[in-house]
Amino acid sequence: MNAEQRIDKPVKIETPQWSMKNSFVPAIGRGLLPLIVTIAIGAFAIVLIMLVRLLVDPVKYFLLQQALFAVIMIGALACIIIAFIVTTRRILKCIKMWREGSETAKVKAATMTMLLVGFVLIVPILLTLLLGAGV
Amino acid sequence: MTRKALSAQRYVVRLASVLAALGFIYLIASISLAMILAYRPPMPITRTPASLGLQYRDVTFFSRQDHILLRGWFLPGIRPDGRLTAERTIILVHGMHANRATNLMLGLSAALVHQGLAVFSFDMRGHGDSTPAPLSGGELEQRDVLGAVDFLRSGQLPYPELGRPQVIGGWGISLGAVALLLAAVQEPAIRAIITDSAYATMGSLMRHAFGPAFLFIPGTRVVGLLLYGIDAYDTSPVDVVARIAPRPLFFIHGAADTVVPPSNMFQLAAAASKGPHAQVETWLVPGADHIASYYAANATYTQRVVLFFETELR
Repeated sequence: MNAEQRIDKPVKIETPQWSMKNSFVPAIGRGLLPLIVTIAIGAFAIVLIMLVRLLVDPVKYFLLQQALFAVIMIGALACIIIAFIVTTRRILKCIKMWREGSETAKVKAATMTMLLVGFVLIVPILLTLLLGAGV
Repeated sequence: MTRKALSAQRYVVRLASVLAALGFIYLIASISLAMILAYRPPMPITRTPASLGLQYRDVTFFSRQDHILLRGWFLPGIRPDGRLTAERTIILVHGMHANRATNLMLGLSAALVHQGLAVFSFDMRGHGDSTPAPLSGGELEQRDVLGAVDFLRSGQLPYPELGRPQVIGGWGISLGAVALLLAAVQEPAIRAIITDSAYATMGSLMRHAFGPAFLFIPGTRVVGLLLYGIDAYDTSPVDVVARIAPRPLFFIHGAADTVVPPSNMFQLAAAASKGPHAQVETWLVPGADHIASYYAANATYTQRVVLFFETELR
């Protein structure tokens, strides 16, 4: 058997039953992106705060420490809000695209994930309402 | 996709956006509240005891344990024959966002000094001329009171010719009262204590002060712990006040106090009375709002405070 014969032989590509076109896993991933970004920036801000607490002696330089906290907090909040808006807009674009392509499963998955992210963000409020102020 | 499904999906997206916005508002409010509650630029010292014709000297000392630099005044008592004395010294502790130079602090200092009681008043951390530091509802401020006791017992006194105080008493108002109570639990050298407008627990005070905004308390606590390592919510003098017995305690509270309701005084007095051989006295001043008993009862207030120390610090 020479090389040409091998190339000419038709190869049958099997399409999986669970098609990527209707898979909702990537849609969930996209839906979770705002939360992931929020957590990542929040974690980075916490690391910075811990560093400031470690490196700046509050007994001598409390006002400097307070100023650094304010800068970190304002910066982190601004980044989180901007990143959240940008990622959410991208998801909405994707949802629109999937809707036009009649990819219903993806649209549903992304929408529900967005709702889940919203609920995760109000967990502290829900916990306070359920368990009281001393939580 | 049907029109109905499309509309439902839009609602879900809007709901998710509203929830996320609420979450962010909560986060921003919690951070802001925690930072504002922890520190406010101090009220400057604009008067000295000299404005009331009193003798005094400036004092600097350090808080116990964390060694924060604090500033205060030492005012010697005046005996009936005009000689100065430091034999019986009263530590005066001001309230939140106040300092050692308020009318109340200076007026009370004058009344005590003229009765032969020396006065040691100082600015707590984060107040007046003392080192900037976060507020902690009394948990850290008690170290300032303990530092004052250490200073009176072993520091370089501004009137060395008068010798060291033989007995120490304490008067504190609001936050200062709580800091004093917590310090007195640890320090038996504080022999008699008067508190004015003290709160039983910081938690109940916060819930009362926040009102419908109580939702932000957990967030504020978490941010406070993260930034300063402080959770003022847990400060609870009512749990430890019984350990002050058998030393005498005098609780004063305004009957019309809207910031720290009078029930706080009754809770504290009841708890303090549980100690062995407890000596607890209470005085509910009619018509007085928070930290206003001195102004509402005026002459009676100073008389009762002076009489208490005269009797208990013999």
